[in-house]
Parts: sequence; C-alpha cells; structure tokens
Amino acid sequence: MNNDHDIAAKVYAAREDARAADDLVRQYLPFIRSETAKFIHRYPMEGHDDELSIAMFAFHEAVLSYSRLKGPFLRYAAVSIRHRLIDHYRSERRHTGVLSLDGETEDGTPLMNQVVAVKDESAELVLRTAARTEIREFAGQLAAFSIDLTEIAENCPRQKRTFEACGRALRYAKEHPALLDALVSTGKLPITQLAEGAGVERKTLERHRKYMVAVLLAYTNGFEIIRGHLNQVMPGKEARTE
Amino acid sequence: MKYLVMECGTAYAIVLDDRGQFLRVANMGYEVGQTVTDVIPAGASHPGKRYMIRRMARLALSAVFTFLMIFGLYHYVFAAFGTVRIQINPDVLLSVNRLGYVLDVSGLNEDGRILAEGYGTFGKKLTDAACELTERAVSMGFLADGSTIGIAADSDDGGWRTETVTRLMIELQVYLTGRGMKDIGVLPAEDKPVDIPETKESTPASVLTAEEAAAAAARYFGLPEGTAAAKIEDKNDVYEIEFAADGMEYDCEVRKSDGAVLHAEIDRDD
Repeated sequence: MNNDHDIAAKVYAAREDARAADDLVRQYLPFIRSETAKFIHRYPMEGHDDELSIAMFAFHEAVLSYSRLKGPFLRYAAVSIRHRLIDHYRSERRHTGVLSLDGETEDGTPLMNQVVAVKDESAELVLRTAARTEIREFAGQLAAFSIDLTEIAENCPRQKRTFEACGRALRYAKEHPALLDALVSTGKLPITQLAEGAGVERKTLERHRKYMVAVLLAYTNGFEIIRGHLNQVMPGKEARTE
Repeated sequence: MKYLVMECGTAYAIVLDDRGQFLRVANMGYEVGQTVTDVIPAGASHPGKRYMIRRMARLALSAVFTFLMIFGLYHYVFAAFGTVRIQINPDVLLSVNRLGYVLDVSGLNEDGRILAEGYGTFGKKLTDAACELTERAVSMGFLADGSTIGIAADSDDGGWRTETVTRLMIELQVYLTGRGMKDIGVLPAEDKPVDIPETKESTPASVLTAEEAAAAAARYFGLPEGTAAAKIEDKNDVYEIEFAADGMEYDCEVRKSDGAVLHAEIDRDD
C-alpha cells in the first residue's frame, strides 16, 4: 500500500513532463519486461521485440495520463500495456497476407534479393546524418524561445478545424516575410497581425503558440530537410530561402 | 504518410508528419533524422474509458456483493429466527438466529431475570447456552432432583420448532445424566413458548375485563403487582397489552375467556 503511494507520488511528479516520464520508464523497465513477457510468453529482448517498445510506450502514456482515481498505478500501467499490445496484434493481423521483405521464398532465398531496386544505404545514411544535424540546430533555436520538441507535440492542434486555422495563419506569414523576420528579431510571435491578416481567432493562435513558432521557424532559417518534409502545411508555394 | 523523427526518448519519439503535425509516438528503435512510414501514435489505445467502465462495473459488482454479504450476514447472524423458552422454575426466553446461536436471553419471571442477569450469550450455541443456564440454575438453588424442565420453541418454521425441542431435550437429559442428576426430567412444554400453563384468575365462564387481563399479563411477566399497562387494546377475543418498565418493553396478547397469554415479547425500550 505504502509502495503504491510512493509510486503514485513519483508518477504525479512526472506526468506533466514527457522526459521525466521517460526516466520512470527506465526505472520500471523490469516491470514492463515482465508485463510484456506475460503477453508474449517469452522474455522480450530490447531492440529486437516490437512488443517491448510498445509496452514501454504504453507505460509512458500511463504515466502521463494517470490519476489516483484510476486505482493503483502499476495495475493501471499493466492494463495500458495489455491494451496496447492487444491493439498491436489486431493491427498486425490486419496486415497478414502482406509479405515482408525480411521474409524468405520457398527455396530459402531472402525476398529482399529479388527486389530489383535495392535502396542505397550509404546515401540514406548521409541524408540521415544531415537531417540529424539540422534537427539538432532546429532544436537549439527553439530553445532560445524556451520551447522544446516534446512541448510542440503536446501543443500541436489536433482538431481538423483548428489545424486548418493554424495553417491559414502560417500561409499568411509565408506570404508576408516581414512577419517571419519579426519572429526572429523580436523572439515573439506576431499574433495580432497573424490573426487579423489570416482571419483567424487570436485565441486559437495563442493556444497553439509553440506549434506556430516551431513551424514558422522552420520556414525562416533554411531548414531545408524539415521544410522539404512539410509539403502539405503550406502547399502551392516554394518555401522561403535566405 | 512519412514521418521525420525529430527526437527520441527511451519509450517515445517526437515525429513530424508531412502535413506539419508534430506527434508523440512509440519509439520502435528510431533514430533522430530517420524517416519512417508507420508509427504508433499516443492516445490511440488509451485504456481511459474502457478501463474506467470495467472499473466501474467491478465496483458496482463489489457493491452488490457487499450488500448481499451484509444482508446475508444480518439475515443469518443478527436476525432472530426463533425463540426457545426454558422453564426451570426460572423462566427464560432465548432468541436464536438461523445458525443456531443465541442472540439474547431474558427472564420471563423474577427468578428468570436473576438467572439471566450477567449471563453472556455471545458466540454460544443454543444447546451450550441451555446447558449452562441449567448449570447456573443448579448452582443458584433453583433446580434440584425431582424437578422438571420444560422446553418450548417458537418460530415460523414448524420443522425448526420440533427439531429444536427434541434436540434440546436430548442434550439436556444427557447433560444432566452426566452431572449425576438423573431425576430431573426434561419435558416438552406446549409448542407455543409463551403460554401460561394456568391462570388462577381465569374464569372460563366469564370474560376478563381489561384490568384483569393487564394484571394477569403483569404477573406473567413477573412485573410488580399493580404495574400499569402502557397500552391496552381490545381485539375481539384477546387484549393486546403493553408494559414499559426497567428500560424494557413488554408486549403480550391475553385471551379474554381464560386469561391465557397467547403471545409475548420482551424488547429493550429504545
């Protein structure tokens, strides 16, 4: 009972912070492994079994969504893990019949060998390294706005209407580069101009300020890989280059 | 849909989809800078509602179960299922639950009250209590060789009445024989535990007045001469009479024709 109380206190301390929740995941990895093993009936290997990754994520989500009304934390986490794994298996079942490139033909030849266009691994590695460097730079610039990537994910609009409203404001900013410059020079999002110019409610933009800052920043400082990835958020026009 | 991995934690990763949405997803061994096509987003399988519904259902089930347990406990343990009257000379009435345990013992006359005073019934089976009361009656000088003990039981369950009287007679007889008091007889009294065997004042040829019936009832309960009835109701062939004395409430029905007490109850006056 006392043990439950201690865990609940730790969880309460971590539930507002995805990174702190991640620390709890590491701390409770034996428990997560054990719950996964109950489900797959064997000891899960980190880095090999998708089930363990899914269970870790389920535990992480359980930390972020826990309240004492939901009963003892570990029981709640165990239920979260089980539901996640069940959903994972259901989803996998939907994909049965789809051949995996890691599979083999009847004569034991890897299917990958039969694919004509084999991907260029070295080019991919170069691209990934470049993307990593760019993302690190992007995260560093966001830190100047006291924003981190986890917060942006939490602050990102989920509802279609809100997402479209934010998209309108972002397009308006792109068409008026002075607003992008103002963001960089003042370190503040020009909410009033964006709201009036794009015809979006000020409250909507204020509510998603961190998200707006992140996307606008990606369009102002030559983050080409990230910009290249965002081909839908501001369609129709080429991203601004310096 | 393509997702660019922006940040990796132990359990989660932050990815950016090609529509411009940042998402927290399960980290399936991703690396920052990697582009993936299939992710497991947060919240998709949150147990929230399902879990709460199951939890509420479990709670409701436990509540029903607890209620049934308490009801059953009350029904079987705390509710009187029948009464047993033991007439030694001290006249005592024992309330018994369904499990055969004695809930309460009260004296129906002065000697009975003396005998029952200070006697604890908690956790005692009827047969044990009957033997112990008999033992007390012997030690207090109420019972000697040649005396007779009358047993009567009352309950809505006729089978229980018969079985209880028979069992008690056997148990008491065996107990008394074991104690070397073979000459004490144990006999069934009338099936109704509260009948008065005889009432001196009864006048078969005439009908009792309310005052006479009250006096008979007071004598029956062993109340002091002249105890005033709290309530007397004339009901065709009987009087329903109530007394309140010494923190107890006495109810009885007295037959008009002969003064016989047909039904009697003694309760604490709350």
